[in-house]
Amino acid sequence: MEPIVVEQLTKRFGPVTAVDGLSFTVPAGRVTGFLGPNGAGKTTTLRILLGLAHPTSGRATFAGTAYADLAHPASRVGAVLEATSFHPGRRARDHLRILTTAARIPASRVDETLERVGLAGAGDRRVGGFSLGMRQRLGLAAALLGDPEILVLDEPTNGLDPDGVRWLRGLIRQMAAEGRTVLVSSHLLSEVAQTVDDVVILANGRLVSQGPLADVARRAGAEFTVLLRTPQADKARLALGAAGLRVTVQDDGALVVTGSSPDVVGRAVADAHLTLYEMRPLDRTLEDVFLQLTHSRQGSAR
Amino acid sequence: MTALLRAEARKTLTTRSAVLIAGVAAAYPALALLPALFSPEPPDVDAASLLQLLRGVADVLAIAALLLGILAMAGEFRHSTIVPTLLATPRRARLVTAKLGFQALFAVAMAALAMVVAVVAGGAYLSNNGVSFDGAAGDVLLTAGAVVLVTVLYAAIGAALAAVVPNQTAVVGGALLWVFVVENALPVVLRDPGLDRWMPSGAAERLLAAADSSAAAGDAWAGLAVLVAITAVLAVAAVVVMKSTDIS
Repeated sequence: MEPIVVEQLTKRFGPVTAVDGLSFTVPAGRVTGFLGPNGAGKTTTLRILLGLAHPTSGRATFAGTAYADLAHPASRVGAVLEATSFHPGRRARDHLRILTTAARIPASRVDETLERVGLAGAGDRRVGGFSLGMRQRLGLAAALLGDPEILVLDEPTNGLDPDGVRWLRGLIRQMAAEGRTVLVSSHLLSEVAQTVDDVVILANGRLVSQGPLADVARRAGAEFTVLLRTPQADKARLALGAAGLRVTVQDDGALVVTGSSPDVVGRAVADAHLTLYEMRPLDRTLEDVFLQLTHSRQGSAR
Repeated sequence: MTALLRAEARKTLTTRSAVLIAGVAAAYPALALLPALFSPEPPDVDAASLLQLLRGVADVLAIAALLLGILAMAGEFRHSTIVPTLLATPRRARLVTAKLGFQALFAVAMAALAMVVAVVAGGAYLSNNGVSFDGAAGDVLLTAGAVVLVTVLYAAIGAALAAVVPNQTAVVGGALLWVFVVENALPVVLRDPGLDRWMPSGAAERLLAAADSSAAAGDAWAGLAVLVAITAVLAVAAVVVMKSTDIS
């Protein structure tokens, strides 16, 4: 069984459905991006997975076992949920010592993890004086204390400066290289695109797409957008429409065909004997794909 | 459970406000004697004055323990440390048990220290004023034991209460309002002076009068039973609420 399994998960808060029949799995030894716009249900799903919230129905487990039922949860799963989970008057080292004591982890791990996240010199400082980036690093240190095989990170780049983001990407890749499974959430695909192998994309609490990033992008490419410039705009619109293509007219008179790849559009143009000045696929970044996937789902939910 | 108790000890001992409250409460018996030391009036004291001092200290210790228990539990929610706490200890009933257990142990240490301070400082004051006393007499030990018990139960009540109402401002305000206003006003408003017997302060008062020869037989036990029952009900409620709460 995959290390993380979410099955028909639903969570309602009164009339609001935050997560709606969500199912996905996270494969072992890979970095999976858990993506969706703000309010898509990512954090709620992660909180249920980690036993902090109760599902309305369905299950979220680690290879079939609920987090609370894991024998040594902190040694199986490390998690970073928010950068503010610290008592401001407590020293960083004390915070980690509390966790090692409660989870029966050797105290020597405190200095090892502080070193690993670049806080070796700040262990005796009170957390109240930490920047948001330092708190993120301390949260990561807490997650790594038990040397876990699975890491669950909720928006870990929040508060990190560009150097910090680069450092985090390196750390995540290093974790994956060590054979660990990493699930990292973000509302920006561009933030994690260089780091993740697979993606799980959510919108409105529902699964939009899942799989290796390249496959998801390719599948979304079926919704390619092609721009045409022709002196026969009216004839082109009618002909392409008759061929079953979706055509819109831009303010500058150019036609935009959505939902069809360039070869399909090209064939329809040739069949209609149209004169073309220009025909090109519109540039689509990964972020465009992501926005298309999440917005179409959001639109359909409205 | 030992590991969880040690983790709770580390939390409390690395929280400056908790150490400060406990330190002031433990030193309070000596501080309480300062006005008498500087009073120009000749002191009106006898051997029973030591018991009065011990019982007087109990009020302060109980409120300090109540606050310490509340801060230990509500502080987890206020600072969101409940998230890493529950990730390390996902079984919430165990967490509540450890939290109440350590706050009770901490209260034992605080109250026992306060009793030693009270007997030493109070004894010195009485001796200076020509009053002979026996610090190890049965009534002194019995009263000191009752003070420790009341303190322990108030600490557990505080921690349990904060698990049921985790908003720190609301629970501290509500608890102080209850102690200083509601408990005094309720028997008057309801015209039932006997109601006091079923409330924490009334029950504690009866328990603290354990060494009082004028108290009715079994009264102290009845007071202890009421306090234990209140603590037990709140502890069960704390576990039920904690187990069902979504941590956001």
